[in-house]
Amino acid sequence: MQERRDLPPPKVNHDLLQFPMHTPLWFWIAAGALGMVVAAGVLTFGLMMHVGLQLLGYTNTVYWSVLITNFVFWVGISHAGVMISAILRLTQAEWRRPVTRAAEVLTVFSLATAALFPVIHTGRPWRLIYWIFPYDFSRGVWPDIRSALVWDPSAIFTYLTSSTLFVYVALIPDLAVARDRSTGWRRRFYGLFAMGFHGSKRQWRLQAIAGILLSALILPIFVSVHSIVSWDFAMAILPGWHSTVFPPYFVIGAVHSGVSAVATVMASLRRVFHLEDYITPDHFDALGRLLVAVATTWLFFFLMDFYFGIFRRDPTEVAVWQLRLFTPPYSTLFPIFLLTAYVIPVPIWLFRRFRRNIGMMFWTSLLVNVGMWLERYILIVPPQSFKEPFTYLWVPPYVPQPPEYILTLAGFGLVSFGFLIFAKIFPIIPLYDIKEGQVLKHEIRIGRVRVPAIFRE
Amino acid sequence: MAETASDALLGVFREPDSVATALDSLRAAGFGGHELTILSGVPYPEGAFGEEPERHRLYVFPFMGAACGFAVALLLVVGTQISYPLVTGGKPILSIPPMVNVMYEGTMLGAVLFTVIGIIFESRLPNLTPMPYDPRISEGYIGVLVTRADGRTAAAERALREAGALDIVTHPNAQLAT
Amino acid sequence: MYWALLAVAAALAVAGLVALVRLLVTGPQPYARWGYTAAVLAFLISTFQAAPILAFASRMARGFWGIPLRRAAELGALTSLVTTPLLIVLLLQLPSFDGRPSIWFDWPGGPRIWDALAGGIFALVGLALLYLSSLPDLAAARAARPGGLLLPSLGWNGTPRQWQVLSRGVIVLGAFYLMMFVFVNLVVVSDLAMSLVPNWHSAVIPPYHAVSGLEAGVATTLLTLAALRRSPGMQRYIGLDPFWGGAKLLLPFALLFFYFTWAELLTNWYGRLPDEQQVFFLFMFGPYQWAFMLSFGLNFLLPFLLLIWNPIRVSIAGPTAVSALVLLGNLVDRVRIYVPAWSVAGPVGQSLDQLPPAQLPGVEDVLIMLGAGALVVLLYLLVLRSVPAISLWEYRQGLLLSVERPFVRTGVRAIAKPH
Repeated sequence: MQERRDLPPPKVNHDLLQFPMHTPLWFWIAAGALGMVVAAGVLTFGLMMHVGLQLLGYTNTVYWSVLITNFVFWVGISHAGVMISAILRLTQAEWRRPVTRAAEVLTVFSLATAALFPVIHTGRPWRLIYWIFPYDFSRGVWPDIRSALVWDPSAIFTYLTSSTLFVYVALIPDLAVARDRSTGWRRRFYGLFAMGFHGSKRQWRLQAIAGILLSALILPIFVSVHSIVSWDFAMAILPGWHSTVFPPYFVIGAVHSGVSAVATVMASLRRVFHLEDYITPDHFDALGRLLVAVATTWLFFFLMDFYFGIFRRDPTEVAVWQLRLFTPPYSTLFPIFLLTAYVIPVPIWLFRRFRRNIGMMFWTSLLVNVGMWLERYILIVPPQSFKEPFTYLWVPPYVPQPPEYILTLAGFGLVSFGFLIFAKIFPIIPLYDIKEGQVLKHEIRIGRVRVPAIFRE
Repeated sequence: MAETASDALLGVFREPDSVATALDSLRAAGFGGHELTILSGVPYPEGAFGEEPERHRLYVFPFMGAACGFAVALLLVVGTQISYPLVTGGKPILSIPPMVNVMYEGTMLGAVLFTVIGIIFESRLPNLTPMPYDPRISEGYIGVLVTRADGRTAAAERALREAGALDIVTHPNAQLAT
Repeated sequence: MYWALLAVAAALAVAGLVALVRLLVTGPQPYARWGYTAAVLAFLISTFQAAPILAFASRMARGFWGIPLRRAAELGALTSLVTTPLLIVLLLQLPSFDGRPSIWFDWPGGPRIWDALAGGIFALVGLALLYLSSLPDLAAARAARPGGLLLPSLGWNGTPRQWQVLSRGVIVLGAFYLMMFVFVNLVVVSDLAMSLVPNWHSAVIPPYHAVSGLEAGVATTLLTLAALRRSPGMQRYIGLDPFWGGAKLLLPFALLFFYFTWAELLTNWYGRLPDEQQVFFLFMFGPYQWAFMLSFGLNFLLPFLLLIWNPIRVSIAGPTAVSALVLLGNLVDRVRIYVPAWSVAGPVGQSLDQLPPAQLPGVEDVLIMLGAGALVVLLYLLVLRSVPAISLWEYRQGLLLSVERPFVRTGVRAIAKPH
C-alpha cells in the first residue's frame, strides 16, 4: 500500500466508533426509508399468501423466475465476504484490512435475504418446512436427500452459520474496545458480547490462528454453496440447464458480482462515514485488478457454457440459445447483460487512473451487478419458456408482475437495512486490523528512495 | 480452567521497548513466564517482548468437529432415506453422490462450530470475573500483568517502575484464570 | 553425471522419434494406435508447459518465496519445441471434421490450421517469456565468460528504461501465456478427445483439463527445483521457502481437481440420459475405471491426505514426494481421457453402443512417451548450459527488497512492495 497514513490508536478508535456511539439524523431517515421498502415487501408477501401465486406472472412452464433469480443473485453476492476476507487473509494481503468486515457482513445479510426467496417463491411456505427438516409427521413425509433442492438448505445453513461466526469471532476485540469507550447500557451490551476479552498475548495469538483456520475452513464451504445452488438447475435435464460446467460457472459469477458489490459498498462507506484515511484509492486499485482477473475467468466459463451447449448441434439446446439471443425480450436483455457485466466495466478497469477513481469504481461495480442479475434471469427463464409453445394455446408467455418487482426491491432494501443496522451497532471497519497494520508498517531505504514495507513474522 | 486468588499487579506502559525491559526485570526478580501476561490493544509479532510462545490445542477442535459433523450427517442422510424408501429418478435408495453433498456440509459445519468453540475456550473466554485491566490499553498503551505477586509485590512494583511504567495498579486477591 | 544424463536422454529421444516415424509411416488408421501419443502430448502441455504460469503468479503476487523457482518454472516453455510438432502430427491423423461436433462449427481451416496456429503462438510466447526474463543473466554470463557459447543478450546494459521494459514485459507476456495455456488446453481436449467421442459434450472438461494442468505445473516446478537442488552449491539458493509455498498451492489445486471431477460425475450420474451414461462409463466406471481411480488417488486423495499435515507441507521432501505423485497422476489422467477417445474415434454419426476394452500401451507407445519426456529433459540440460538455474537478477532484487530487521526483542522480515 503506497498511500500510508499515520493513524494512532486513539484516532482509529474515535473515527471508527463515531457512528456506533453517536446517531446522526440521516440514520433515522435512511433506516425509515429502507424500513418502508422492506415493509412493502412484507405486505406483498402477505398478499401473496392470502390471494395466491396468481399474483405473480407464473405460467404452466415458467415458475422459476424473478424470485429464484433473486435467490441466486443474493447467494452470489454473499460470496464476496469469503472471497475478500478468507483469501486475502490467507495470502496476507495488506489491502484487505479495511475491507474484510464490510465484505463479511454483506455476506451474512445477503445470504439471509437469499434464503428468504425460495420460501416466498413457494407461496405456501409452511409446507416447505415439512420437507427440509427431518422429523416424522403424520403423513410420513421425509426430506428426499436425492433432491438437489434439499442440498440447498444444508449448504446455505452451513454457510450462514459459518459466516456469522466468522464475523463474530473477528469482532470480539473491537467489542472490547467499544466496551472500554462506552458507559451505561452500551458498556453492558458490548461487555456481554466481548466476553471479557482483554487483549492478552494468548488471546491475540488465537485471534490470528482463528482468522487463518476459519478462512481455510470457510473457503471450501463457499465453493460448495453456489455449486449446490447451480445443481438446482444442472441436475434437471432441461436443455439449457443440464450442463456440467454450472458449478464453477456459478461460483466464479458469484465472485464477480460479490467483489463488485464490495467495491460498491466500500465506495459508499467512504463517502457516508468520511473514511478517506482508511479506504484509499489503493484499495480500489487492488479491487479493480482482482475484478479484471475474476471477470475474465467468468467470461471463459460463460463461453464454455455457450460453446458446449451448442457443441452437438442438438436441436433443443440450439433452440434455447436462439431464444436467449434472438427472441424478445431476451434479445434485448442479453446484450445489456453482456455490456454491463463485462464489455463496459472491464476495459475501464484496465486503466490505473480509472481504478483509482472512486466514482468510476462505484458506477462500474453497480453496472456489473445489474448485468449479473440479468445473467441469472436469462439463464433461468428461457429454458422454461422454450416449453411454452407445447402447452395450451391460451397460456400467455411469462411476464414479470409488479409484486415480483416489489419483492426484488425489498430484497435490496433488506440487505441495505441489515447492513445499516449492523454498522450502527458495531464498527464496520475492523479496529484492531487497522492498528495492526500501523504496527507492522515499515520502510526500506534503497539508495535515495524509501520503499514502503511490511513486517512479517 | 483453575482460578486462584492472588495479588496481581498491572503496569501500564507507552512504549514496547519499556515493556520488554519490564519483562526482563521481572524475570530477573524471579517471576516465571506463566506468572506474566502482556495486555495490548493490537497484536504484536510473536516473541516481540521476549515472552514465551503460547501453547494451545486449537488444532484438535476442527478434527473433532468434523468427525461429529460427519457422523450426524451420515445418520441424517441414511436415516431419512431408509425411513422413506421411495425410488426417485431411478436412483438407488442409498444414493452415494447426493449423500456426499449433504455429508460434506455436515462435516464442514461441525468443523467450524467446534473450531469457534475451541477459539473461545482456548482464549479463556468467557471471562466473567473482574480482572486487572486498564481501558487505556484500547488506546494504544500496553499492560504488563503480574498474575501471582503474593509476597513479592514490592519487587514487582520496583521492576515495573524502573522500566518506566506510567501507572501501577495493585489488585489484591484477584481471581485470575490460570 | 550431467553428460551421462544427457546421453541417456538423447538415446531415449532418438528411440522415441524412431517409434513415432514408424507409426506415421503406417498411416492414421486405426485411430486407436494414436491414443497414447495424444495422451503424452496432453501430459506435456499440462505439466511442463503449465509451469511458467507459476512464475507469472509468483511475480504478480510479489511473493519472495517464489524467486528461486521462477527460472525453473519458465524452463517449461522449452517443452513447446516438442509439443508443437507433436500437435501438428496428431492433427494430421484426425478423422474428417466435416459435420462433426466441435468448437469450430465447420469453420474453414478448423481444427487443423487454428489448432496449429494456437500451438505455435503458445510456443512463441513461452519462449519469448523465457528469453526476456533471462536477458540480464545472459548479459552477466557473457561478461563473466566472454567468447563462451552463450545465447545473445541483445545488448542488455541494465539501463532504467531496459529494466522498466523488462519488468512490464514479463508481466504482460506472463498474462498472455496464461490465456494461451487455457486456450490451448481447450482446443487440445476438445479437438483431440471430445470431438472424437459420440455424444461427449461436457462443458466442464476444458476447464478441468486446464486446472489439473495447473496442479501438475506446480508439481513439475517443484520436482525440477528438487533436481536442481542436487547440483553443487544450489542448496544455499533453493531453500525451504519455494517448497513450502508450492505445497500451499498444491493443496487447493488438489481440492479443485476433486471439485471439477465431482461436477462432471454428479451431473452425469444424476441425469441418467442414455448418451451421457455411455460417456460416463467409458471414462469413469467402465474399462478405464482403474485409470480413473488411480488418477483420483494420485491427483487428489493422496496429496490432500498428505498436505493437510503441517510437518509435510513445511519440508522439502514432503512437497517433492507429493509432486511426484501428482505428475504420475496427471499422466494416468491424460491416458484415461485420450486413449479411450482415440479408441472410439470414427466417422461422424456413429453411436457408442459398445465400449471397447481398455487398451494398454504397446512398445511403440512406451518408446514415444519415454522419448518425448526425454527430449524435454534434454532441452532443459542443454539450455541450462547457457542460462542460470536461478534467476540471478530477481534473486538480487529480492535481497534488496526483503531484509531482516529487529522488532523490540525479536527478529522479523521487512518485505517491501514497490509500485
